[in-house]
Amino acid sequence: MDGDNKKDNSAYTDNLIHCNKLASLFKYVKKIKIEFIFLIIFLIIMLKFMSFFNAGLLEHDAPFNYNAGDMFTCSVYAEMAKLESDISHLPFYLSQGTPGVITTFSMISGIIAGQLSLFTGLETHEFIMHSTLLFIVLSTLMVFYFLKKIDLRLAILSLPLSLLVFKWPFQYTITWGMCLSPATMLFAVVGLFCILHLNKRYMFIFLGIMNGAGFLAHARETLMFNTGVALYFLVRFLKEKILQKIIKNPKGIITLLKENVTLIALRNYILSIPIMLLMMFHYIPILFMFLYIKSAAHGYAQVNSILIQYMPPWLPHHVYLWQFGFFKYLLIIGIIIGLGFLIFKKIRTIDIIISVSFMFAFNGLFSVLGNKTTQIGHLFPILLMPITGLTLFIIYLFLKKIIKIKLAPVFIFSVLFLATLIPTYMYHAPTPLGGYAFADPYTWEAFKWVRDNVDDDEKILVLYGDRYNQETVFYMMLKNQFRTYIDYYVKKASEGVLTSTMQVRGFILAETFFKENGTYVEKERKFVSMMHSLCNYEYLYTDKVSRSPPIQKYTLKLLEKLINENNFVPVFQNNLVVILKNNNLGGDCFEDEALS
Amino acid sequence: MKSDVKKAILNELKVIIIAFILFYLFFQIHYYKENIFLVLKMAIAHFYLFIIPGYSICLLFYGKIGQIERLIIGTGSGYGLQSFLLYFINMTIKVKIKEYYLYVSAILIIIGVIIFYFRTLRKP
Repeated sequence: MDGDNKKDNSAYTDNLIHCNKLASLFKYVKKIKIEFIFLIIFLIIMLKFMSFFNAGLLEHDAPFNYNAGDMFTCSVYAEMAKLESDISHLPFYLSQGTPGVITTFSMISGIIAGQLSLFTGLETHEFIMHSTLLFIVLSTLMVFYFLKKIDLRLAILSLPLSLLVFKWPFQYTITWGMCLSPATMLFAVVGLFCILHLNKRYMFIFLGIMNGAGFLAHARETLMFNTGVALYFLVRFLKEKILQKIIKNPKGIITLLKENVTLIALRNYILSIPIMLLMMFHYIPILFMFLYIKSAAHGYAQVNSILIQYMPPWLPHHVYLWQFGFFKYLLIIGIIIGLGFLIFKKIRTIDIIISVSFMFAFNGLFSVLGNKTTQIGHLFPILLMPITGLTLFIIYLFLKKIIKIKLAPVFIFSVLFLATLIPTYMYHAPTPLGGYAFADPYTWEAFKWVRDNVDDDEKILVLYGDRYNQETVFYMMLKNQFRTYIDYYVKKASEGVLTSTMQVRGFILAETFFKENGTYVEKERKFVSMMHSLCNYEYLYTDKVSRSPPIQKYTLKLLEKLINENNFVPVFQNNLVVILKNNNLGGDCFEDEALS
Repeated sequence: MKSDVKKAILNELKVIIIAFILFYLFFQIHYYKENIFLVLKMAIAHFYLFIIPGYSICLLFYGKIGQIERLIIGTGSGYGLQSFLLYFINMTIKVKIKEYYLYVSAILIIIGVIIFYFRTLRKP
């Protein structure tokens, strides 16, 4: 009997311990805030959306989801940062062999990607998209943390908009080569924290670093950020009636400079400028040169790109308001609420973030800083997070006030968050991408062969490929390469004329500035477009497969003729690409003849 | 005094370690098909080259602003300052960045540690 009692007692004790454990676990679970759960849900969705861009892999067989030529431009500059001993001048493979061309491309992103490539041993192209995604994630979380300083629920309610960045047209940033802007966005977002603590000693150094790095990464976004900072100071000056105080009592300015947070911050902001200029010392003349030249992208709009210029919203833009889906209503209401906060409320953190958000929106929509400014619209989902968050937060505060039930705040907050997150997940999810749009593993294998086997002083002619309309791809060969003009090639193929003289093109992948007697001089952009004999090139590079059978037939016949009659030999081929070496450089090429 | 310093060092290391683990986990999930050592190497690259140097420099604000905000400002500074220094050195001495990029990060970390030393140990 005693033994049975002992057994019962020990079972009872075990149960008690078990119950206690459960109770403490329950208490712990109860302590987990709903906001934390929502943040985790958001991160899971973010990871899911991000997975569309690199198929779960860091390393790929070729540049993956590079959907436009600018991606390759970013990549080749990263390659240059990794390989060259003087990145202030273009290497021969970017300047078509012209020496002394000044690098005008913003190099910070390239240097970051180049270093990551050196450290990990992976190709630089892997780190263009990786860095873009990383900077998007970091910026989103930093904006979230900034808003958390105002209110955690405001921060959570701001998150869903950021997911739009992964969907077209916003994903242009990730897959079409806007690789410079995410880095600048990161510096601008960190700059928000510097502004917040600008009254602290030495913080001006860090603001100077952020602005300097921002200008080196991409000047326009940094200018936008600083217009936001200017608005913040203006708003604070008006709210705190600083000018009136100074006019009333001019001697009091010394006391104000010691005590007033806004004035201390302004003084420190001014102190940060020399640090910024010091970092930009090399780049300042280049920026000034850009004031007077046409942007390479002037085709986007009906205006030329000079720095200060207005482009009305009805001209072609990259992003339109309707593309924000239901968020557009939240944005419009948020702008009105934000204005109200700027005018009537005296919350410093809100003044900072709303001023900066507003100026990004203003510059992006009205393109005050030149036509390329509209591109910032692709990053609006992150930069305008505070505006939609503010709308939802005001709705939350309003409903909380009128519904006076114990659990109402949590319920209203949850409904508002899920009511924005779920439709975002359902209707704004990115669609799967093609993968190897312009450089598949066969092309990349051929590029690597070229890098390893072609001498730096040899020229390559890229003959034909169905996807060769994005010419910047070929700069990734890191050799002096030229391309046949595709329309001319197709015309000859359709005429059925086998010819050894092609219209050839090639250009320096940048604006053409040289340094002469200590000053920067712009020269005519070297743009080769002339009739050239195929026999004038050391190598011929072409796709042997085409979606168009007549063109495929034409290409194969052309290769056959060069091999049989003109001393060309195949030195590399795979399922897609053939490379021929010319053993009689400058020799006579075959005469035109009809394709049989 | 000594235990205070030890506590401060542990606190700073804790932030870096937690940030590293979260960073690694996030990207390990993102690159779920990738070799874990490659993702780990990538995470180490980000932390060694940019984040830790930036965070170290931000030890200038030790005790003045919160750790997470220092981490945020440090992250931005790391990516900005370290890359700028490489750009500057490359333009000045015309040597490939691969020759010195690891040292530049190390020097920034050492500068940060010195700042930390003066901010804590030398504090009366």
